[in-house]
Amino acid sequence: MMNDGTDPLELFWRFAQPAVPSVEEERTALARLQEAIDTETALPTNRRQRWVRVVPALAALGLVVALVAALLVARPGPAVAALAEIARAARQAEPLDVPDGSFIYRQSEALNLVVRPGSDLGLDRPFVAYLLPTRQETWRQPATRFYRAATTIGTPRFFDDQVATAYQANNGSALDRVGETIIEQFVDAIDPVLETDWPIEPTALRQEMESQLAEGADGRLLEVQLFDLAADILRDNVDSHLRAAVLEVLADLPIDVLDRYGDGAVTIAITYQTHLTTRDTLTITSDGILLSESTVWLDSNPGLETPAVTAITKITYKPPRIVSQLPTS
Amino acid sequence: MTDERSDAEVIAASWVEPEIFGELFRRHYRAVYAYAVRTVGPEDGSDVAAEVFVRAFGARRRFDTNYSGARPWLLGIAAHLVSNHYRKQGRQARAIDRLRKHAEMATGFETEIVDRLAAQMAGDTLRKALANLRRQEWEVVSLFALSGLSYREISQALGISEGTVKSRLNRGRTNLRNLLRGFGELVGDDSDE
Repeated sequence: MMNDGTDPLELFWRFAQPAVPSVEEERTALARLQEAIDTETALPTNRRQRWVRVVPALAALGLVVALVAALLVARPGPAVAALAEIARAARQAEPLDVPDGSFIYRQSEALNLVVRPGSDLGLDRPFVAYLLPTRQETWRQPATRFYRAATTIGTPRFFDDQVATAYQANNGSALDRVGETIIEQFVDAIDPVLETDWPIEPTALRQEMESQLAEGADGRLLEVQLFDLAADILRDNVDSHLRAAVLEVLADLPIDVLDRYGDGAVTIAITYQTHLTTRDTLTITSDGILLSESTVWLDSNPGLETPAVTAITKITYKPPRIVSQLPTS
Repeated sequence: MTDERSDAEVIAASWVEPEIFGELFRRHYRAVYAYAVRTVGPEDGSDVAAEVFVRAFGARRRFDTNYSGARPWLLGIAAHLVSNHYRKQGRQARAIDRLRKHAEMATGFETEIVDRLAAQMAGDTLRKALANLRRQEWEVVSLFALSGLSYREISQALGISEGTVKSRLNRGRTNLRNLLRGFGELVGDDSDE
């Protein structure tokens, strides 16, 4: 295909395919932008009304907070303390041994927001949205870079009856492959998150994570991207020392503790603004294993008719375990 | 009527009148679309291009208005979206998305190769090789080769110096050449028949 002297970039220019959007693609893309614009335009009024109500209360609260803050100064915040505790436990956890020829097996259940053009369901709306549950099993063999995922699609849940009726009438379940189990399998597959030799010292780890991200380049704050990348690392890595370092990186981000459970697990969250106020959460066990994660729109989305506090993604994992073989069916 | 304001002026105006941001879409959608389709293929490229403008709208207050043109900024968002593994179908699919970008399905690969025309095969092979570069090299090489941005524009798109753009491009070229040598045998076998 190429000689040693060839500039590989010339090949891109030579083989570049024409890429012109269809009228439908352009219309759909513009409608998505318009929906974001409409959403933002609708927000300020509501926010102003909220602020009018809360400002006097905040002023009084401010005095109390200032007093309490003076008392709490120099103590670590609850998020830092909770994650430091879990990081300590993770460092002491028994490493998960993966014998040759065996697989890391994991089960998860997810609920994801699906957005479709209204015309897919015969509706005169730019978009329709609903939640689609899935159940997934994965088998991974690090030594051979083998990965198999079996994803079973469940029955959707709707925000309004009109969409539910249209879904039935237009055979929406065929579009979503409801009831099917989809198997995807990769061999010798490179997963950059798993292939990276992440440092297990928190400062060096954060530097390496930052070097893989570009601040603001995907429209979100660096802290949010770091939170996301931390979740990527936690999700599939079995190295308990790395998990501990990831938790310490997370503790340095502007996160809140949403919940603490009797067994030592904790739910942390980072809240940020895209076209909607959005919150990402992670629930982590007492020894640093990712138990669940979610992305929640805290504002309602008038364009999609989703209510306030809608989880657009929620996944719950069972702890990983080692299995010696793949299922036969 | 043509809006003669610079992109920076349009973005600044959209801070108070969000609707004006649509002008940016009219100016640059096609260029962003072409880049997205060339990097991830027609199926996902259309989605990526649409998402770029939604993200850009949300991030418009962070646009550096010292730059008059917004195309590099938009293409930078596109590059980051693609390299950050576009995840429309939710986080459960992330691992699969990553693998899809870096590997062939274990089944169906040979059939796929045989069925494609030579030019399409070459395009796919190039994309595959590109996807195997390190993220930082991938961003620079893809913006240079597939969108035609200059060094200066890439430095604006990614927020790095022009010197860094040049060094990443050089490293990317070398690594790409090595990767294509490996892929080349596979493509050559089929196309020679």
